[in-house]
Amino acid sequence: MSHRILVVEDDAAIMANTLRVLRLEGFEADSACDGLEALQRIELQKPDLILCDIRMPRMTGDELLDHLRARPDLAQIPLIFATASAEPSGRSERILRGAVDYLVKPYDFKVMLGAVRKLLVGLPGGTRDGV
Amino acid sequence: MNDHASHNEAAERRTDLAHRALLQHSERIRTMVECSHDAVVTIGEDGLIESWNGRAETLFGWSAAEAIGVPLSELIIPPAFRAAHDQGLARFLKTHTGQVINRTLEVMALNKVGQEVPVELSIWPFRSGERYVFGSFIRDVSARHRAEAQLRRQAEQSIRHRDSLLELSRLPKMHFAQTLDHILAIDARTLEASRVSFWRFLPDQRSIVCERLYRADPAASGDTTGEVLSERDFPDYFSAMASARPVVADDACAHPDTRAFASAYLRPNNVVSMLDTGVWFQGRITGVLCHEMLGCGRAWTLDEVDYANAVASMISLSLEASSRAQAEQETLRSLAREKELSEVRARFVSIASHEFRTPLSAIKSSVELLKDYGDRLEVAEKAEILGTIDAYVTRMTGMLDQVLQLGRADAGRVEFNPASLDLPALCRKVMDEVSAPNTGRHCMVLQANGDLRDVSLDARLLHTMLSNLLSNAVKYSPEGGQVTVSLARTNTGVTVSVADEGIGIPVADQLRLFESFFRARNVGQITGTGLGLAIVKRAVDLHGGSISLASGQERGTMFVLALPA
Repeated sequence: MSHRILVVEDDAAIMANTLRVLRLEGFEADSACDGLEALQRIELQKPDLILCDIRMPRMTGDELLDHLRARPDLAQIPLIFATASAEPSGRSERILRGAVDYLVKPYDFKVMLGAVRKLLVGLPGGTRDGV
Repeated sequence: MNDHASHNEAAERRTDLAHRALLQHSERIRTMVECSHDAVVTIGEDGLIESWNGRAETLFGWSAAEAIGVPLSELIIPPAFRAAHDQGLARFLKTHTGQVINRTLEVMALNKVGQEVPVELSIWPFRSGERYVFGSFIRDVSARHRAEAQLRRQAEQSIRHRDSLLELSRLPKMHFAQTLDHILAIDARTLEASRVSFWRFLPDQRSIVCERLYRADPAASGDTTGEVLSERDFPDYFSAMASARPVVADDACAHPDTRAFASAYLRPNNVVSMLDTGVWFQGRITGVLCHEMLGCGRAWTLDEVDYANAVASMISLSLEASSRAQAEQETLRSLAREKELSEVRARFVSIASHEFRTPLSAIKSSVELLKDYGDRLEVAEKAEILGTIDAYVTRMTGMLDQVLQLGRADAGRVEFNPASLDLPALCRKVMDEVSAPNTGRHCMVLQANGDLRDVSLDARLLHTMLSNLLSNAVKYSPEGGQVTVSLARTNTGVTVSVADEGIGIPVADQLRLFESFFRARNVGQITGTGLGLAIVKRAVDLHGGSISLASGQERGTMFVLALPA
């Protein structure tokens, strides 16, 4: 069984491309178009990792992170932010709030995949594809 | 006997000589007394006048014939002091001492017409046979008193002027109008002038206007505030001012510099005396400080002219201080404006960079997919990814165009050229352009109230406003919805409203709706840059118009433009 990654992103094209790459690399990938939909999906099925945009309608990535960290059963799911916001303080702020990594768009898929794999090493459930 | 006879003769001659010498001596004394510049008066123990010299006649007005034999106290001592005089005389006769004896003192004396005259008096008693005679020298000191009073008045005036100038120098001088009011009031009080006014030169330097007036008694004098006097009518006065010469007119109707004012200004305002000095600022005359005496004349003293000049300098100082304070405030204001602008710019750059990263990210991920995974993708997938690249490049180009439009508007580089145009025709054209790519998906309706075929608006800006509002109306409303454009004439111009039946705008988002890159929270997957309404707002501002909206979530939206035309 391969690792399950939830992609939270409001831009349809970026979402489609990210899902394609993750699936081609052997991951199970689910999608949610904002924080609220992501929460609903997580309740149904816990992912191994979340790749999450920040600025989204209805519920932002920051709000989603706060919700997860407040829930003991969900607090341990690693979350990587992927954002178009290039504020210098953005990264350290999010790491302090509990994100495990912070990618600035546009990023190389190689960089994103490297960050994902680093986190999933050693987690149960990994099969092939370098995990 | 001969000896004896000659002895007698010699004795007679000696007696005769002595007698003549005595007579001569007495004559000399009498002449001296008569010619004395002091009045010399003697009285007996009974207080009656016994001698009265010529100077006494001129000083008191009584002749010797009238005075001799009359009690001194009744003739020249003011009633209030008569009792004291009589008591003093009686005490001396009893004790042979007195407070006024052998001293010089100043007292008031009475002359024939009943005026009191200040005199310096010395009394010396001497024995004449068995009785006392009192002689006195009496000197008229009224001239000296007048001079002293004059000196005292001058000293007091100097002190008053100095105190007043000190008070003026301590006034805060940041706000000219306030300071000026204080200065004029203090000046009027110090010089006891009826009116003190400040007249300012108009920019052409050829007329002065009364900017501020202080009236000691507002009920008794007219208000000249706002009155204008021109060099053309009063050349002598203006040339005096231009040469920095104060105008000191005790009789203003006769003074060469001010007599021209007589019929138009002085007489109607009851002005008798004037004292005017120029107020200079940055090397040129900027105003006139004007003192006026109403009703009665005034002989202005040199000290008063000096004081008036000093007050004029205070007004110059106040002008300078207030203009400096004003300049400082303007600098602060423009700094604040600059700071605000640079903050707006920084915010714009930050948001813009964020907004550009999203389409760039879509394009980059598409390119990477095609490059690294191309061999594992289906043909249809590849086509879809290429389509994404194309769509996002188009979107970015549109955003760049809009950013440039905004930048041009913010830099004031968008021209406003209103010209006569046919408003309904222009609306129809834009409606066609917007509905063409969406043929038949919306029902577009145009309503026009009144004749709008000749209104003065900027056609290019109007096109921008309408196409943005219409494409929003189409974009954010369901297929088959109606979009209504209504036009109406108003008293001041036209109103253009664009109404749709779409998703609406949450009330909470309506305030920020016209900010760059702001998009309402309910836009969902509908793409947009958040720049369209910011551009519309600027076009409305250029027209000097206003934009308002009525909307609620899921209740449609109506934008109303009110444009002067």
